[in-house]
Amino acid sequence: MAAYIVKRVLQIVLTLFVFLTIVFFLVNAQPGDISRLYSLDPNLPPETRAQMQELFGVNEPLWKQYLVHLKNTLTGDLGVSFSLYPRTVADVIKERLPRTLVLFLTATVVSFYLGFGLGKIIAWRRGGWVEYTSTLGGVTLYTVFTPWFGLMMIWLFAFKAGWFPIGKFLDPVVWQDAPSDANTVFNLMLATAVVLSLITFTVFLVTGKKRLGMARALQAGIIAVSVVIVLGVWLSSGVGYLAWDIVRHMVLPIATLTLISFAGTMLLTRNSMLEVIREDYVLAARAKGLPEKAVRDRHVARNALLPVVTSFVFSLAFAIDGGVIIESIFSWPGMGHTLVAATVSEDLPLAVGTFVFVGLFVLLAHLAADILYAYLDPRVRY
Amino acid sequence: MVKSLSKRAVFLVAGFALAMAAMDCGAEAPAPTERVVTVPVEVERVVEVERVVTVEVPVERVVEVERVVEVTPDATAAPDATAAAPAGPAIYKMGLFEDPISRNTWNYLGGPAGSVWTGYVIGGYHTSLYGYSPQRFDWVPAVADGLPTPLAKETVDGTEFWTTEVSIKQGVEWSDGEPLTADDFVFTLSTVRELSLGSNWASLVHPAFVDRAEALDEHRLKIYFKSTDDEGNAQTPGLSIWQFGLAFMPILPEHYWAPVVEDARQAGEVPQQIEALFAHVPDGEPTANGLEYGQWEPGAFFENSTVPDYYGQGTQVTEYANGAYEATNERLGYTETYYGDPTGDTVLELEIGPHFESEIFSIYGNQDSAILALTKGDIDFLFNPLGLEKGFLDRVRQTADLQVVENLDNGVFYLGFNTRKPPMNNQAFRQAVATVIDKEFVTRTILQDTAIPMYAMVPEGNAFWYNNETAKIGQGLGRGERIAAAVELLKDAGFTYEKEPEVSEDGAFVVNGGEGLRMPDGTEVPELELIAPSAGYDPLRSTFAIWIERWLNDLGIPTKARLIGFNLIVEKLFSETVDKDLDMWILGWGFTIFPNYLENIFHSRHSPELEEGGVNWGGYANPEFDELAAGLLSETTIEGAREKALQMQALLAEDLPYVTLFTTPKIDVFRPVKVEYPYTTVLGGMAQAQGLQHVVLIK
Repeated sequence: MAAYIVKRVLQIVLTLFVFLTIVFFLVNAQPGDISRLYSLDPNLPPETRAQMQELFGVNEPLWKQYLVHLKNTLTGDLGVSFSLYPRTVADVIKERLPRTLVLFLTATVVSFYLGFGLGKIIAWRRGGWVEYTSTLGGVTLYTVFTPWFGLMMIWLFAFKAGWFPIGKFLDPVVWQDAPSDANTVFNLMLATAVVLSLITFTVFLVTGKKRLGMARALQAGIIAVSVVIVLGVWLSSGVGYLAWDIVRHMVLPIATLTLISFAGTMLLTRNSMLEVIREDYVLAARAKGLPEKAVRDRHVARNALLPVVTSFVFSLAFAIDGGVIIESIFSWPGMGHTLVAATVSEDLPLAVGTFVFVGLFVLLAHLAADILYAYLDPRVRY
Repeated sequence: MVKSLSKRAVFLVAGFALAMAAMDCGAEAPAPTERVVTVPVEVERVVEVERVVTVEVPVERVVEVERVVEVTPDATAAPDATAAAPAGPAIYKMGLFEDPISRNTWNYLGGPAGSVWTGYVIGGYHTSLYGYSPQRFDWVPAVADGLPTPLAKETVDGTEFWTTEVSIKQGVEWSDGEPLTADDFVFTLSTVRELSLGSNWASLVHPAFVDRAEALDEHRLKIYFKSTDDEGNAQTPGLSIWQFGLAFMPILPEHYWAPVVEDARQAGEVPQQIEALFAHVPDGEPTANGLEYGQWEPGAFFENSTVPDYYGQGTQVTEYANGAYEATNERLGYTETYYGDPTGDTVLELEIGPHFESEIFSIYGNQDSAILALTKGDIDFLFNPLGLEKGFLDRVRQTADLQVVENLDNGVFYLGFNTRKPPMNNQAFRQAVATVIDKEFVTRTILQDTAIPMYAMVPEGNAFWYNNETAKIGQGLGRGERIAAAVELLKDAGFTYEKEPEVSEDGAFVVNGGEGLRMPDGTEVPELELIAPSAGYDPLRSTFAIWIERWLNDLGIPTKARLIGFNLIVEKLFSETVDKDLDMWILGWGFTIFPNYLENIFHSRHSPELEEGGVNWGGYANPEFDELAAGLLSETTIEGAREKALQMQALLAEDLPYVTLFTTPKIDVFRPVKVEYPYTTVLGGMAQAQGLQHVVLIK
C-alpha cells in the first residue's frame, strides 16, 4: 500500500508539472496582455503603458516569465494578482475558497444524499410511479439550461414569493458593524461542518458492529447531543445571527444545485444496485428471512456504494472550483468566478494560481478515492 | 439504515434551522438601521439643460469676478436644521457588478485599481482645488478660495517658470478635524512627482509642465510650471495642464500619508516604492469630501459613512439661466459667484450633502439579479456602465416603481483609417466612404434607436465644446444619392472604374456593385480589411461593420469585414507593424469634458512610429491640425481653447481620419419612491456622476 501511495504521489507531481505548463502557455496564448486594458485612455501618457508592463513583468520574454512562474509555484509563492493588484494570489484564494466550499460542498452532500436515497428506492421498487416520476423529473432537471433555471428559482422564490434573498451571500444591513467579517464566519461554519462530520463518522464507525436497533439509537442520540452543543456554541459566540444570514442566502443556490445534479447520483445508484440485486448473497439474505430494509440497506446498498462513493469524492474535489454560472446567477463570488475573471482579464498569476490550486486538489482527491476503495472494499488490494 | 438516516437528517436539519431561526429572532440580531425621513428641502428639479455655457477662466489677464463674502456666522453654531437635509440614519443603497479593487487613492489613480467600480466607491473621498459644478460642468473652486492669480513669468535661481498663486478656504477640514492646508497639496504633488506616478496621476500632474508647488503660508500656495520643454523650446501651461489638469488633482492628507510614503521610500528602487505605497491599506485615512470608509465585505458590499460636521454639507448651489453660478456655505461663511450676475431664472438649485448616514454598494453577479433587486427595493440605484440591453430596458420601463433616465454619453464609436496606406491616405476616398455610410439607417432601422448617429469628434452632449457646424457628409441622402455622390468624389480625385455601380430606378438599392476601381496612379484598389469587435462583444459595432462592408463593396471598394475579439483588435493596433497591417478598424473612445483628447488622438507626434504607446494608430498627419492641436494645449483662455477645438472638429469632419459613427445613450435606473435627485440630466449619465451621491435625497 505504502509503495503504491509513493508511486501515486510521484505521478501527481509529474502531472501537476505538465498541468502547470499547459495552463501557463494556454493562458498566455491569448492576444495582448493585461497592460493593454490600462492603455486605452487617450489622455494617458505613453510612458504609463511601459510602466504598467514593467510593474506586471509582462515585458519579459515568455520563457523567462514561465521560469519565474514555475519557480514561484514550486516555492509556494503564487505571486501577485494583476487585476487585484497588489493583493497576493494566495490572499485572493484564501478569501474566495471558504465561500465556495461552504456552498458547493453543502450542495454536493445534499445532492448526493438525495440522489443516493432516491436511487436506492427506485432500484428496489422498480416500475412504480416513484421511479417514473423521479427519473423523468431528475433527468429533466439534469438537462435543464442552468442559467435559466437559476433565474427562475430566484424569480419564483425570492422575487415573487419573497421567501429568500435575491442572490448574494449576506444582507449588508444585517452585517453593518458586524463583530466579525464574512470569511471568519464562513471558516467557522466549515470548522463546524468538519467537527460534526468527524463526530458522525466516529459514531458510525464505533456503533457499526452493534445490533441495528441499539446502533441507531446511539447514533441518533450522540449526533443530536452534538448538534445541540454546536448550536449552543454558535448562540453564545455572538456571530450566530451572521451565520444564520449566510444560511438563509444559501438555501436557494443549494436547492438549485441539488435539483440540477441529484439525478446523476440517483441513476448511478440505481444501476449499481440493479447489478448487485441479482447476486447470490442477496438471495441468501432474503432466504434467511431478513427484513426487506435490512436486505436493501445492508446487503445491496452497501455493496453498490463503491462507484457512487467514487463519483461523490470526485464531486467534492471539483466543488473547489465552484461553478461560474451558479456563482454569477446567485451573486456568490467564489473560486469559479475568480478563475473565469482572471482568465478573461489575463491576470496570469491569479489564473495559473487558481488552476494549480484546483488541479492539486483534484489530484489529491483521486489519491483519496484510491485509498478509500481499499477501505470500502476489502477485496481491493494494491 | 439509509432511510432512517434520511429521517434523522431531515430532523437534524429542521432542528438546526429552527434553532437558527430562534437565534435570528434573538436579541443579538441588530435591528435594521434604515428609517424613512422627511426631507424639508425645497429643490427645483430641472428636467433638461442644454445650453452653451460661457465660461471665463482667467489665466493671463485680470478678470472681474464678483465675489460676495457675507458676514461669517458663528462657526460653532449648528447648521440650520430646516435648510439642511436630515442627518438621520437614511441609507443610500446602490448596486455594483464588481468589487472595487482597492481603497488606496494612490493605487486608484496611479495603478491597476483604477477601475470604474473603484471610482464609484472611493471617488467621493477626496477633494481638489477646483472642480466641475453639478450638472453644467462649470469650472469652479472646490477648496480653493476664489480664482488663481493669472500665470506670470518668474525667474528663480536663474530658471524661468510660469507661476500662479492659489488660496485655500479657511475652515476646510479633514474628517479627523485636522485643517486642510497648502502643505497637503504640496505633499500630494511632491509624492506624485518624486515617485513618477503614472496613469491618471500623470494626466493630472503633467510631468513635462509641472515643476513643483510651495506653501506660502498655511492657506496660500504657489505653483511653478516649467517654461521650456526638455529641448529648450518655450512652452505655456495651458488649460489642459493647469485648470483642467493640476487643479483637479485630489489632495491627500499629509498627516496620514507622510509616514506611509516615508516607509515606502525605504522599499528599494522606485518600482518597489510604488508597490509598497499601493499595497498600503488606508485604515483610518481621513477624507475631505463628506464620505469616509465604513466597511467592506469583498464580494458582498462596500459601505461609506457620512463624515460628521463635514464643512461642505449644506452648501447651497444655484445655477442661473444666464450662465451665472453661485455657491453659499454658511458654515465657512462665504458666498461666491462666477460667470455673471446671479439674477434671473435659475436652472438648478440644490444643497450639497451627503443627505444620508451611510451608503451601501451591494455587489451583484449579473444584470437579472440586480434588476430584480432594484424592483424589489433591495437597492435604489444601479451602477450599470455596461448598458442595458433592449429586453431589459423594456422590462424596466414597464415596472411602475422604477424610473429610467437616458443621457447623452461623452464618447464616440468610429471607423478609423490607416492614413499611411493608399487608398486610405486619400481624403476623397475617405469622404466617399463616409458618404455611403448611412448612420441614420443603421441606428434607427436596424438598431432601433439604441444608438445615436454622430458627425463630430466631440459628442453633442458636451455642448460647450461641441461644434454643430461641422460637415455632415452624407446626412439625409438616399441610397442612390449616396452612391452617386461617392462615385463623383472618387472620380474627381482621379479614381477610375471599369464598371460604375448601378442603382435601381427608384434609387433605393444598388443593382450591380462597382467593379475594377483603380486609384489615381492606376493601380487597382486592393481588398481592404475592416476589423471590428464581434457581435458577442458589441452587437452595435459589429452591425455597423457588416453594413459598411456591404456599402463599400456596392461602391466597388473590395472590403472584407473581420469581426474578431476585442483583445485581437487592440493587439493589432499596438503592434509594431500597425503601419503596414492595418486598413480600417472600428472601436470607441470615452472622453473627458475638456477636449484635449483631440490632440492626443490625432496629432502626428502621437503616431506609434514616433511615440511608443501613441494612440494615433492611423498615422494621421496634417500640419494644419497639428498647429491647432499644439495651440489647444498651450491655450490659456477658455474662449481661445473653444475656438481651437471647434476648428479642429471642423477640420477633422472634412479630412476624416475617423468617420465618427455613433454614440450610445447612457441609461440609468433608480427607484423614485425611495430616492430623489435634484437633476437627472447629466452628460455621461448618472453613473458617471457617481450616482449623484453628494446631492441625492433619501425619502
